[in-house]
Amino acid sequence: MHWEVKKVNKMRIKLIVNEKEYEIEVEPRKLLADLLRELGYTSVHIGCEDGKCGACTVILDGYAVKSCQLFAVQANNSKILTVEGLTKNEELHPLQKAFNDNFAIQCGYCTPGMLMTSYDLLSKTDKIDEEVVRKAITGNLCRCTGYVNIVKAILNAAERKKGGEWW
Amino acid sequence: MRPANFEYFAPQTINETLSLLEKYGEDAKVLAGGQSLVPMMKMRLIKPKYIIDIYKNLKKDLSYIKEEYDRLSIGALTTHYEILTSKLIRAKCPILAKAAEHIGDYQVRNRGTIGGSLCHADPAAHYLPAIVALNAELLVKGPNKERIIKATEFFKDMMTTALGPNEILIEIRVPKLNGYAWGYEVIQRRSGDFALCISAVLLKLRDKFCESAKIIIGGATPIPVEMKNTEKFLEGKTLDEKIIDEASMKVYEELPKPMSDIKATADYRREMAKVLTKRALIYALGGEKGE
Repeated sequence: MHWEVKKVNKMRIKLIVNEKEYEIEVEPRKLLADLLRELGYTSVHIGCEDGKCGACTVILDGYAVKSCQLFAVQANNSKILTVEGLTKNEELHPLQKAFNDNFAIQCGYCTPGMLMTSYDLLSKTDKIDEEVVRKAITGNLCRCTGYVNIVKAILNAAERKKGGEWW
Repeated sequence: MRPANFEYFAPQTINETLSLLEKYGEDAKVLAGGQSLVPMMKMRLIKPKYIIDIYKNLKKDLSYIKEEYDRLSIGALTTHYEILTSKLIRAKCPILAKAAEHIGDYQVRNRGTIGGSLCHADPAAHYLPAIVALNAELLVKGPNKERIIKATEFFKDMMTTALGPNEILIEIRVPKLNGYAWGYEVIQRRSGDFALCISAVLLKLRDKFCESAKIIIGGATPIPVEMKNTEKFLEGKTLDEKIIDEASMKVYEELPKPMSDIKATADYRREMAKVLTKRALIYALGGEKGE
């Protein structure tokens, strides 16, 4: 089979990941998920590589998105938040604590995506109930827990947020 | 998988976008939210040589929901999330919010745009039957002029629209649903999956007397299709259980041969068109109306 190999110049982009600035050269086709992992943000899990599992979810300019469905160049001049950015001074974020306390983790592969989606949900929605949570995490697949404890954890995190324990 | 390489542009203005399109023509693809285009590139179903990213710099100009006269004007780069959560849409054109609610998942709705979805024109896309039922107008811009394309004439075939190769969609104009009852029902195998069949219904009612009806079936055929016989049947009748049953049976008979694929057979889609129309009519009669 004949493959046409197209030579493409790399592009220089600027990113702010968890408040740290980067200026990097990337090929336009470089996926944001790949770039973030190469920069050391290995909380960005690549599960299906296909936009189905949500394990690569990050917050891009205030919105939870799947970083495997974006080119890094699309995130030029953007702010990105990953799980690494949730913790403060080595202390777990209340959302992470809620996951821990409610046994919402088994193998842990889906956890970063679950955290970022629910972080986005909780920061935008005041009325949280089980249905809202379950609908919000339809784009995040978990093959171990059966979701029950994850839903519990997110509801518990909403309580913590109401109680003022949040950043 | 990883996509083939391409050259990337993020134009600052609509005019710059148009001149890039003019220059690269068929080798270029316009990228909006990218929730359909990027997966297709990753699966190497398409390999555009040039990507023109309009979301990057034009999002701020082309993302809005405005009330103008008897209609709402929606910027092409308004995301599904913005449509779903807009108070204006909820109050004046709720059928659109209902359609947006079913699209993909939380993350996809955060990034995907209404303009992108319409131009992609996937037969299973949730907006299509709603937009056609609403008789929306699409404002497109080419090198030298703007023009309006009616939604009823926009969709030409599966993933094919009336948009010229050097034109982009700027704005979607939908009427306010003053006094119209509506219903929107969809079947998908699981949340976030492609729609197998959609029924979008608009009724002008006086109590239960139907003055006019619009029924559009989506997802079953390559482009949304209007159920003209059923509409005529409903007009001038007082709607009750029996009439609704008969009307949904008419949809079953009237629907042109549906698509058959790995997700659903043609027969199943036809059956669902009947069931969904019945549900949509019941929902419409149940009272939730646009203002």
